[in-house]
Amino acid sequence: MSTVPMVVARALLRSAEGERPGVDVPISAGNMARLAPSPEAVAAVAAHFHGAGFAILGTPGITIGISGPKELFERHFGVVLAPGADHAYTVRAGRRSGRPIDPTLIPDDRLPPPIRQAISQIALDASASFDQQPGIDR
Amino acid sequence: MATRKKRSSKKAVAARPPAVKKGRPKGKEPRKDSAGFPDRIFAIASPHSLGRVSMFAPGLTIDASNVGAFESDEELVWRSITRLQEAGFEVLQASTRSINIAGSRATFERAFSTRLALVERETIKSGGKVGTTTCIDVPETPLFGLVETVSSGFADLLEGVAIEQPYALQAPTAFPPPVRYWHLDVPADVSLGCNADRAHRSGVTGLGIRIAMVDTGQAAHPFFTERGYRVQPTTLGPGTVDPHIDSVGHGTGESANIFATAPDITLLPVKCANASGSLVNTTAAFAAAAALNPTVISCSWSRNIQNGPLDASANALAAEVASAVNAGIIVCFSASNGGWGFPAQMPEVVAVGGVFMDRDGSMRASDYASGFMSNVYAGRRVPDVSGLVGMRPKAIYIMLPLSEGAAIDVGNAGGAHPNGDETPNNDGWAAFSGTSASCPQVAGVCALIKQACPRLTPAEVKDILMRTARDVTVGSSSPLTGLPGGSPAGVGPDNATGAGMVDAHRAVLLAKLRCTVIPLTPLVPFLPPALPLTPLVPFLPPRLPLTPLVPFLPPRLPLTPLVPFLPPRLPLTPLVPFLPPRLPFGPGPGPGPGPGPGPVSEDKGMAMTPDDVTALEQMLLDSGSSPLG
Repeated sequence: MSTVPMVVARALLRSAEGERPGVDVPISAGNMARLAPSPEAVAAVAAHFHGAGFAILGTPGITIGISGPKELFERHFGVVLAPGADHAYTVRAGRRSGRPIDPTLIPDDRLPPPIRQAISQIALDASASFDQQPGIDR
Repeated sequence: MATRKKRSSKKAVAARPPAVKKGRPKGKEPRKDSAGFPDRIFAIASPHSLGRVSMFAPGLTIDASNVGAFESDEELVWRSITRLQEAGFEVLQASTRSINIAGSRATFERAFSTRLALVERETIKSGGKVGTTTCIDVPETPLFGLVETVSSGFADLLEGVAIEQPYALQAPTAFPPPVRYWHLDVPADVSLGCNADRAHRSGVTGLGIRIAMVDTGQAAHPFFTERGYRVQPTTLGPGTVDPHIDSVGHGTGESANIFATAPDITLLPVKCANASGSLVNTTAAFAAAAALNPTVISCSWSRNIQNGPLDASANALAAEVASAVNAGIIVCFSASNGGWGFPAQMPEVVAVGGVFMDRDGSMRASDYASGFMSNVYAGRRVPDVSGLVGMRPKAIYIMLPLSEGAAIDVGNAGGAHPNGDETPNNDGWAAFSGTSASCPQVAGVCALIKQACPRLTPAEVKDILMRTARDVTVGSSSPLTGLPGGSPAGVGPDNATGAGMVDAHRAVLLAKLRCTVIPLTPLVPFLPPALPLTPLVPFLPPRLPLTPLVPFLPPRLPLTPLVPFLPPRLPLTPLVPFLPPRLPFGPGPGPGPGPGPGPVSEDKGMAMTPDDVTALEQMLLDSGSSPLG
C-alpha cells in the first residue's frame, strides 16, 4: 500500500456563460441548469488535469474531482500544502497575504489561461464532523 | 475435594480499589521492550491453597463444589503481597484465592527464576476475523502461561503464577444489552417514535428504494444479518480502505436508524473515513454516492459555518448537493449538534433536527440538536423536520449496533448514564444519538414516501414531511455560538424542531393521496373492432365418436329424495325491501351540471376527484396522529 500522502480537490467550473457558481450566482438545485458548464470546458479541464498526472474522480460535471500526491499539487499549482485538522490539507497562507484567507482555496494563477477561464474555484476538501456528539464532533 | 477450610472473615484484601473499566485509547498499543514483550505483564499469583491442591494442577476442574478448597490463609495472602511488592511487582488487586500483579519481563524472570517466551496463538479479533495474537508462556511448564515457583524464593508462598492471556472479543449478538436507564432500541422503539409501524403494516416498508449513506463504513453485525436487512457492499471514497471495517462504528450504528423506519430499503454504504477514523474527502464521497443514483442520500455529518460567504470547499460541496437534488435525489443532512450545520443550511436539503421522546411518549425539543435561522441563506430555517435525539450532556439515548471494540463502543462505555452508556467496551453495542441518528430516521421516512408515490420530487417529499410532522411545543434546541440560549420550541413551526417530529404514517398517507390516480377520460373513445374475431386455429370436432370407458347404465329404480321436496309457500317476501341506491352511486339522470363519474363497478368503488383528494388531505392534516396517544 502506498504511503505517499494523497490529496483530493475539486475544480468548480464556470457556467457556459462564464458565471462563477457560488460567487456570481448562488448555488441551488434550481440554478443548476443555468450554472452548467459547457461540455467543451468540462472535457478541456478534465484533460488538462489528467495530462498533468492527476487522477480524475468520478464523472466530470459542474465539479471535477482530482487526486494526486501532495508534491504534484504543490508543483502544479505552486502552493505549499499543510496538514490540517483531521488529516485534511490546507493551503499555506503565504502567497495570499493581505487578503481574506480561505485555506481550502487553491490559487489557479499558474494554470494555462483557457483552463483558468473555465474554472471558478479549485478547493481542497475541508474536514467535516460527525453529528453524533460533541466529544467527537468538535 | 473433601478438604474443608476455614473461611476468612475478610472476603477480599484490596490492595487498591478495584480497577474501573476504562476505554482503550484509540490507536494506542501497549509499549513493548526490544524483544517484543510488553512493559507491563499481567498475571494472577495464587498463594498455597488450604486444600493443599494447587489450582494449577494439570487436569483439575474447578467448579462451585470445590472452589472453597482453593481459598488461602489470609495471613499468607498478606505475606505474599508484601514479598511480591518487594520483588518489584505492582499489586493491583487481591482476594483470598489470588493476587493480581503486573511487572516487567525482567521482574518476572528474576523473581521466579524462569524464562518467558513469546508465542503466536490464534484468536478471534474485532469484527469476528480470525487472527493471531502474541501471548506469553513458559514452555517448560505443563500449562500454557503457567509460571512455577518451586525453584524461586516464592516457593513457600505461592503455588504458581498464571500469566494473563488475551481473551477473544465477545462476538456481538443481535440483541441489545439490557440497561436500566430510559433509552430507545432499534428497530422497535425508533419505529414507534417516528410512527412508522402503521406505515409498515399498510405495506409501505421502503421496498425497492435505495438509500446511500455517506459515513464511516458498514461492518457486518448480527443485528443486520439476522433480520435480513439488505446492505450492498461498501463503496470506498477517496482516501479510504477496508470496505468491511468500520473502526469508528458511526456508520454501522446510524444505519440501524434507517432500517428502523424503512426496513426493506437497500442500503448503499459509502465510506469516507480513513484508517484513523477521521472523515476525509467528504465531497468526493458524496459525489460517489450520487453516482450510484440512489433515491435518497443520508449524511450524518456537517461543517460548522455560521456566516457567509461560503469558502471554496463549501461551494464545491454545495454544487454536488445541488446537482444531486436537481437529478431527483432526496438529500438529507443532519442539522448538527451545537454547530451551524452545513450543508443542512442549503434550502434544497432536508435538514434534520432533534426531538426527545420521554418514556410516557411526551416530546420536547432536544437541547443537543441545532436549530437556527441561517445567516448564509436568507430566510432559511434549520431544521425542516426532526427525528429522535437524546438530551445533553451526551445524548446517550439509542442503543445501536456497531463493530465490537469500535471507537464509539469504547468511548461511550464505562461510565454511568448520562455520561456513559453502561455497556461493555467490546460488546458491539453502544448508546448514542445526536442529529446523526435523526437524519437517517428521516431518510428512511423519505424512502417510504417515495415508495408510496414514486413520482414525487425532492421538494414535494420535503413538503410532505413538513406538512405531516407532529408539532413539538416545548423545550429548546442546543446553544450555539452566537445563540447561547438555543431556539425555543413553540406552537407551529419554529427554529427548535422545524415543523416538528416526523410522522411516517401521516406522511405515507399524504403521499398516497398525492399519488391517487384520478380517472382520465380517454381523448379518443374506445371503439370495438369492426370485424368479427376469427380464431387463429379453427375448431375441428373429433372425427371418431367418443366412447366412454365405462358404459353408462341408467338407474333401475326411480330415485327417491331423502327429504321430500315441498314447494315454497308463495309469495316470497324480502325481509328488507329493496331500494335502488341513491346518488352518487350512479350517473345523474336528468338536468345537472354534466354527466356524473359514470357507473361504478361493484368491486372498485368510485374514483376520487381532485376535490376529493384536496378535502382528504385537509382532513388528514387537521387530524392528530400520535402512536402514543
